[in-house]
Amino acid sequence: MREEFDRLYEMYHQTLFQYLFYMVRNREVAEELVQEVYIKVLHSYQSFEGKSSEKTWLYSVAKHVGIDWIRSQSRKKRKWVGKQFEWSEREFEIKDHALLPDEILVQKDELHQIYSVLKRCKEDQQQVIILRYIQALSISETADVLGWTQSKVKTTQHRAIKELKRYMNQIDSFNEVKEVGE
Amino acid sequence: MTKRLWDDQDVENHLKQLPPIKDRQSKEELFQAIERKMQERNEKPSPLYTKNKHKLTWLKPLMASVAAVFLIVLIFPYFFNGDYEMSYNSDNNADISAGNDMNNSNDGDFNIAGTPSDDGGVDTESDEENTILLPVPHFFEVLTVNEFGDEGLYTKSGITSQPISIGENRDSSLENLIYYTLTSDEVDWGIQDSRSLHNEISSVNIDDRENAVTIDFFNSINIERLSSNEATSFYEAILEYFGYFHFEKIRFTFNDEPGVLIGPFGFVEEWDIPYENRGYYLHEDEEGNHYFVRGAYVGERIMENGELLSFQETLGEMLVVNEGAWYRSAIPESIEIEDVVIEDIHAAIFVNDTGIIPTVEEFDLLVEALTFTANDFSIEYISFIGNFIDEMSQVRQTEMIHVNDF
Repeated sequence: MREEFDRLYEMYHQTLFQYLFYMVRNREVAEELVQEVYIKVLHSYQSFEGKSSEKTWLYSVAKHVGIDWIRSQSRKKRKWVGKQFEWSEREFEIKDHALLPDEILVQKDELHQIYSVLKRCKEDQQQVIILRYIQALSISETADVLGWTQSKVKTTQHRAIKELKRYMNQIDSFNEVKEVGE
Repeated sequence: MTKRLWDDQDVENHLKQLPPIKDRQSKEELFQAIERKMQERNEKPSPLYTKNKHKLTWLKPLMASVAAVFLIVLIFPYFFNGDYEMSYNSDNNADISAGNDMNNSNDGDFNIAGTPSDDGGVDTESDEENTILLPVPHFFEVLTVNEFGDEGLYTKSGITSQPISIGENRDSSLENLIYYTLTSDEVDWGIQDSRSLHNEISSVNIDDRENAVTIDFFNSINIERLSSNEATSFYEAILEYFGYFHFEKIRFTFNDEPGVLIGPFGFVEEWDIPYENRGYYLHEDEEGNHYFVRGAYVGERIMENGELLSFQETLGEMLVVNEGAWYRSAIPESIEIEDVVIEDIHAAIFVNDTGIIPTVEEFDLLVEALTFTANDFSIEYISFIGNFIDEMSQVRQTEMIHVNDF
């Protein structure tokens, strides 16, 4: 087991961690989840049939682990609140730097904003954006990880970019109005 | 000052500039954490737990003996009087709502589609046997593309309403219904008949606090011998079936001790039921049998912004299916859901004036899909409002259709 772990760690660890981080947006959670990914992978490594590449197989295990966690959180939150949480249309007005990881805090404002509005995209759109632009996977690799056709990846990517563009323009308009007001 | 507008290229460039995020755990810390977790999951129960179990070993037989004596006292005079058909109504309807809190609002029918029982719909009763209509898992093969893009015939699972005989047992608690479904030879759990679990499961217990079900085995010969395909199918059926009832965990015990060997899965203590239901879609096989598949299972959209869809949003999603899907929408093409008004436990579904439902069968399928879906929300009744109901209401119930709430 140790040898297998060492090999996987050297080849994929930081990329898998980064993928999980951008999915769950929390360092501690990503640390826990990456452990889960290894547990699942080390348990089922012998059943890996090689129909996809090792890299996309690992990504797809990580995707399941991340999505399961996100859904379990939604379920907990829903139970606790007792009703469906509704996203505030003006959530971007709230600047909460505590939510930003250190690596992003040191970047320029526009990157803070794009990181924040990414969360507003639909779950499948976020997946495509993270895999394509942050993890730099190809269309075909992304399709493999998500179990989609390549055309679905392209369509979802196109819609996601359009959504992000709309949100970013909304933020700029809001800031402009605020500046004039001040 | 007018700011420039963002274009696609700007967005893409900024996304590419998002910084890399490194894990701060050292390789060694990580490996130790993984090893520790793997070990914890393989460990036996803690001494405290074992001690509690020991207490139960003498307590349980004692309680069972007391209960047996009590039952004998109760049952004997009852049989001598010849009056043991207490759950049958005088009009010969099997009244499963007697002593059954899951269906206490209807008139003796246990009809998942809410169709009147005298109209030729599936009858939920039997004169001689205690038979009820239950959602059960089912397997079928479809020609589709797998996750690796290979086209072929693949086994999929869904649920369907099926009359299940629960024999002479009058206890229709959810525990018992699950027990009968798990042990019934009429239900397809994706395993060969020769490996049926009907002689292996001793009890089913629900833990409401943890939203979990525990299945206790007293024999594990068949469950241990499941082939790889059977074990995978069994796992899928478990997710599908228990997902319908909104459970979050399924625990397996052997004579009350945690864990059972399940074929190639090895020693399993519990499985998480990861997905919430959000919408049901329809698959029709070549013989015309209908099965309902969960939106989450087939990759239809069930969430938005990390939150599960509302009832109305879910119905909106159910109108169309993903490109190239092997299943279809249970909502006829001309129907548009214009509005859904939820008041307390009742959902009124407003349908477009030009919407038509071609056949009564299509209406029944629509109702079944919608009641399966509504079961995941706190909705107990649905009603349709729209022109199409004028004709349909002559043969089917279109208002206050009961949603079975397990």
